[in-house]
Amino acid sequence: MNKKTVTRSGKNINLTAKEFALLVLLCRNTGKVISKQVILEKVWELSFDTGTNTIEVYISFLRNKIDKPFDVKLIHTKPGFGYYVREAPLS
Amino acid sequence: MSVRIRFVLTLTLVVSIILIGSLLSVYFLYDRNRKHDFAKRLWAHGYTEFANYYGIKDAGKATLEKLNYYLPATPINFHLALLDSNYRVIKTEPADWNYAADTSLLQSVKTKKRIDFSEGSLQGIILFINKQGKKGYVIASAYDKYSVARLSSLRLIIFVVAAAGIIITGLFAFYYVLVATRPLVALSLQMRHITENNLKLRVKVGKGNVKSNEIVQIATNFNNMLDRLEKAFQLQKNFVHHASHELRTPLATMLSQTESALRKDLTVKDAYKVLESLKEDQQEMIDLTNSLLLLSQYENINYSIHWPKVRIDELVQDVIVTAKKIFPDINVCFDFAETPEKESYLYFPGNETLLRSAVRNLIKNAYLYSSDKNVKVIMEALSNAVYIHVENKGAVLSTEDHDRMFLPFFRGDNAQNVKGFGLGLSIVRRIAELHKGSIMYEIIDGNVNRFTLLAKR
Repeated sequence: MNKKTVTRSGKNINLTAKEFALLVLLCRNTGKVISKQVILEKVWELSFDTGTNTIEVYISFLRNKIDKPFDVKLIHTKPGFGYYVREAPLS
Repeated sequence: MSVRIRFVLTLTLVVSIILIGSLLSVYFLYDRNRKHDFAKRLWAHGYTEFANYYGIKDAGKATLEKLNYYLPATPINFHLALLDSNYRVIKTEPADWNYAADTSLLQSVKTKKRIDFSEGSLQGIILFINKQGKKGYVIASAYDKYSVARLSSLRLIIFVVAAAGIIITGLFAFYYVLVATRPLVALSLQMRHITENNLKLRVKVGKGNVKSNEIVQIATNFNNMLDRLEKAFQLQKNFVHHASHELRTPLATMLSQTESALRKDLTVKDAYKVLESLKEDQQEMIDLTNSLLLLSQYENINYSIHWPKVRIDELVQDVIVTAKKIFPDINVCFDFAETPEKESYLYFPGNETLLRSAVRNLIKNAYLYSSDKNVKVIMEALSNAVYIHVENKGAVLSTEDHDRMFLPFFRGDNAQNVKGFGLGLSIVRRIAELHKGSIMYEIIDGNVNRFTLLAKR
């Protein structure tokens, strides 16, 4: 399992392959809400069904690493739809 | 030298040293006391002669008491010489004793006041007395007959007591050792009769408490060890038996196919068919030998705390992705029992290849034995352990099969329509044990098989 490193405000953050894939997917679509279905398709190659809580767990890992140490939160939830990355939450 | 003899000799030696040492000290202390007493007697006689000659009346209270105590009865073979300060002999006793003064000796007495000496059986003292202005020398010697006789009988007593003590100690030690080691000797005789051919035999466990009686402890531990050995032997025998059986089946099919093909004139198409079928059997044999090799290889790998940390959830997800490619109709549901409190709970030191193989086997089994091709994988990461639950709906295993299914070549009643050798779960168990973990089986709601791979941190 290859480790990936991203940088925020000059700080290095180590991510696992799946966390990294998830972050890349969200960042490529900055500001757009990505549904759980799409996340499963792109990150987990649709190997398991959509009832899983895997995405919530990974979003929480990502938040712990990317957002927790900083004031500005980047990863947001749109309940019932999916997740998105933006400097401020969509109103 | 046997332990028994060594024990007897050591104990006897120690007791002898103590016994002889104390008896000798009694003897020498007695002898010293005797000499001291006798010298006092000689002094009393010498002083009396001196006092009589010089007319000394008032000797002092302490001297008088001493004289009264030591004076009675003249010692045997008593000799006495009284000399004045110029070494002139004034009186001798007996009167015909011709005493020649040794002036240099007498001179040294002048400073020491008293010299003790012994000559053969005689014991004597030389005194220089300076009392009320009168100075003189007294030489007195005699034979302390009765005390010396008592001393020699004491020597005999000491010799007899020491000899008897040593002999009694030796006999006692020998008897004790004989009694104490009897069960050990019996045990060792019984042990000698147990060989690889009669591993079913057990040694007799004597009466007594396992905790307090060492012999019972040894016998019990030995029997327990035999139990384990017998089990291991049995497992190995079964393993070889099953392995050869499993190898024989495809070989026999291949042989009969080849024989019947040789008997006929085959068209190219038929020959191709035969070869195809042979290839299938050969592939099966390769799979089997690979699994056997894998099992034996794991024997040589040992747990290491320095193994790289494996991120277990992503490993499981990777395995699921591969499984999907091999079994396109498999439907896997992957879930976390709950969000792990810390991400670090998902890491533990492990061998990635082996863990993949274990998870792959579990998912494959769950798929093959399921009634609906649905497999549920649930991940539980806690502070001290990681649990991977793999569930499927389908025929469940009977209670007696619960333990046996992890043995090599065991196949349950539900395996009749599924190809395989019964090695998968034993491989999983080996891998789990390698990671200081375990594999467990339980039935949920009567029709769900749940296998749990547990790895401790």
